[in-house]
Amino acid sequence: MSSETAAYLASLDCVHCGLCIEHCPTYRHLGRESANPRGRIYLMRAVMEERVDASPDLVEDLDLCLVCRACESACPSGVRFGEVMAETRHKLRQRGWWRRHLMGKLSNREKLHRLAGLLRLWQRSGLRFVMRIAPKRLRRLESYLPEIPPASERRPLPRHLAAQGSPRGTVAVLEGCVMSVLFQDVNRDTMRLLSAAGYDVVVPENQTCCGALHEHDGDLDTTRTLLARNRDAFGGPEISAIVMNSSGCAAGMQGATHLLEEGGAVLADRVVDISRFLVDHGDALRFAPFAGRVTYDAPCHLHHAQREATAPLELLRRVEDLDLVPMDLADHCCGAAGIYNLDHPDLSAQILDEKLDALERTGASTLLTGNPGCIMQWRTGVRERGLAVEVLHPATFLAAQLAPLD
Amino acid sequence: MQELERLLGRERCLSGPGQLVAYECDALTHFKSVPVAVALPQTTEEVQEVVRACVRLGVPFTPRGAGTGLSGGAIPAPGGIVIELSLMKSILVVDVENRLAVVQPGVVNAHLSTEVGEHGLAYAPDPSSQIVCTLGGNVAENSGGPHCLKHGATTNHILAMRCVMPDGEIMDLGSPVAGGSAGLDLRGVMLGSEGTLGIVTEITCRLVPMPERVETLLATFDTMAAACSSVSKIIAAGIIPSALEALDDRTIAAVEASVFRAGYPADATAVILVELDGHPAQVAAERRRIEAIFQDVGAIGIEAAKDADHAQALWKGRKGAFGAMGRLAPDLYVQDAVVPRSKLPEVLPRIGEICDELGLQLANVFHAGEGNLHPNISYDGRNAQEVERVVEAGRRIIDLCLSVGGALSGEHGIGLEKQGFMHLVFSADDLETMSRVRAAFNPGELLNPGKVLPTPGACAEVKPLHQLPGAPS
Repeated sequence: MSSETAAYLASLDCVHCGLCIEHCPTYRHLGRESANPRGRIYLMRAVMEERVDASPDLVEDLDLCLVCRACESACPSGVRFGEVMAETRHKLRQRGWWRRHLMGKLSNREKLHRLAGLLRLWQRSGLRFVMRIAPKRLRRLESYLPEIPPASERRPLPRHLAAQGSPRGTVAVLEGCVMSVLFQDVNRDTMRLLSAAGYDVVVPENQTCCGALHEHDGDLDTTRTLLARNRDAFGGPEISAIVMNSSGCAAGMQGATHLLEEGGAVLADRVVDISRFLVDHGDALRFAPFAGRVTYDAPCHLHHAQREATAPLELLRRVEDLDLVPMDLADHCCGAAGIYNLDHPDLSAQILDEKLDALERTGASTLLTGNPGCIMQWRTGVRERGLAVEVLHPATFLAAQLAPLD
Repeated sequence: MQELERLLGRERCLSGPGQLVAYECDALTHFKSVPVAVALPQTTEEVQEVVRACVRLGVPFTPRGAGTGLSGGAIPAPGGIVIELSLMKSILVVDVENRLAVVQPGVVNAHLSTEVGEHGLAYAPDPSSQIVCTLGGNVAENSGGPHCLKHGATTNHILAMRCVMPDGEIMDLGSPVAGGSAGLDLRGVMLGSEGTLGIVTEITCRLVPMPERVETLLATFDTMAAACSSVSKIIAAGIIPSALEALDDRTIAAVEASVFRAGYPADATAVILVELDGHPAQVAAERRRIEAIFQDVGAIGIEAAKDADHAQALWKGRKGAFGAMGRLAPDLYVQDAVVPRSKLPEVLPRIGEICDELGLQLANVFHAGEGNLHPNISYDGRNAQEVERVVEAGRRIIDLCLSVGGALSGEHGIGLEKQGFMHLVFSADDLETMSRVRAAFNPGELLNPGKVLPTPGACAEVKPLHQLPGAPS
């Protein structure tokens, strides 16, 4: 392995102070040095220096990393942990067939929606009881899968939605892979909010999956291909911003700057989370009051990767009467982390358990979080614990509170 | 190994070659030694079982907390295991009426204050790494921290502890009744023994009420000498601030580039961060006197924290300074030595000269009120020749500090790092007495061997203190 890669140089920024370790969910649960950011950087550096072998136990503890990047928010030295981990996984990872299979579908809309159709058939077939004797991972996978919406709700987004009132500019949205199957309603709500804020909204053709899950998995070649396609699809000069409602995808696309050799910044610099966009440009929005207790859980790829800690809360505070209560550990990972909950169901469930305790302490009846993986993870946890809490994307919540224009 | 697996199960007993490499050093990366296994016990009884197994098999064992130690105290002995206490993190008792808490050793320092905050209480000692370092580690090192100037170091805040002794017996030391004292103070002996006398598995901590009023001031100077002279004058005036810290320009630049950006003035050569706490009238009076001293010695700016958030940002910057140095070079060596406060203006430039002569990059951030220096030397550990120069600088800085009547260590401990200097401050008789104390607790020396006291023959070339130039005769 070459020793002067960008990842290697980034690993040198760590002076082993350890201020990150308590921010690491896997360390909090496992307590071992090799499962905290300082230890992982130390080991990745040692592997890159060919001072130690990538032994199975070492690879396992690297795999246990959620890549939530909470350590980056805590790091006084500015170590770009996510980059070092993606590069290391890229070099070490052996992928099983089902991962290749699943990952391959993400970038192909047709195949993905065909799979969704089959899954919906299964969910409605009355055969689900056989899962009781299925292997644990499959059972977890099945329970984690939300109700697949009917085909009518999965239909493609309109290519264009006009601004209400006089247009203030043009913005684009990413339809996404998982989003387009399971959360097309969130996409529509996003478009409605943007249009109500006075923006023409376009959904460029030829766009594809953002590549974030592939990057998370260490498949940097596919990530680069997908990023390049999106760079071209979203390259229109009229587009002032790519407004994102999936924080994982947004953080992934922002990685274009260092992953693409050409024009990566063109894509990355336009990416903005919907909460930030509406805080900055959504002064035209009017929301109806909401009398209820709501709490917010920060998606890691919004809070830590995009460093956007305040915009979602600022935006929600514009809803009158809203009883917005903070939740303990709101800046800690919920354990979803891409498909971590499928790879490491036990640890993921432990991490979620601690978060569910925190949710219960808030007494909130609505939990808002702006990332599809987190929404699915929370919904599974809330359902299994039997809590009366609705888990929504902030865009869904806010779109429902949109007051008609005067 | 099988013995440990039998005791703790596979999940809490590490033996994979990669996992073990992660334990080869703590926050001092200069020394490395890979353990043969790592045990993660969760109770006093499990620690006891692990220790007994080690004694039976003749295997050395070293306890470890968060691994933030800066003198190599948690580095295992060759052929030894690490007893990792991170999973022992329960707060067992919070007794508000008697203002004490009983905790396991893996409880993080800052978590205790957070937990008791709702009762208006806090745990006072605040090492810079308090957001991650553990109370067990604090007890082992007798850790200090910025606010120990007024409130005292760890030893002043630990009432009692339960220890697993090196033979596997359990011993209770100290008295949980505040003010209780009878017999020899073995609690005091254990405290600060750097994990060489016993493994602390339960700690009874004193809690203090939060002060009525806190004020944080930041004074800016265009010379470090002026900053230092304000420090001696404040103390000479009879004021004991709760904290009195200094940062130099390189430190400020590193912090301001980091997530702990505190808004320290970019044009300052040095800043003094001072905190006052207590009765509002007293705090106000002290603040006026300190501001007058700052003006007197030529401060170019004096700023008060606007609110609690602002004060917290100023402190986070100070406490993140060590890690922020990673921006300068891959490795960092933090020296920890103490000089009389009055000697600060004289000693600091000489430390700068030492590093200049050796071509090393120095940044200063230190507990000025206690004269506890932390010269931070940034270097690249891959360059053997540079490492040698760093070691040489450390030696010269120690010589310098001792020559003006200083001490070997303020709060980071001796560990592996400073054994070779012990001869400089202690006579052969002193060291012999200390090794007899150790032998009384730790006769087979299986517990954390090779730390603190020099190993015979290793330090033959180190000159005793009285032979140093400028030493008091």
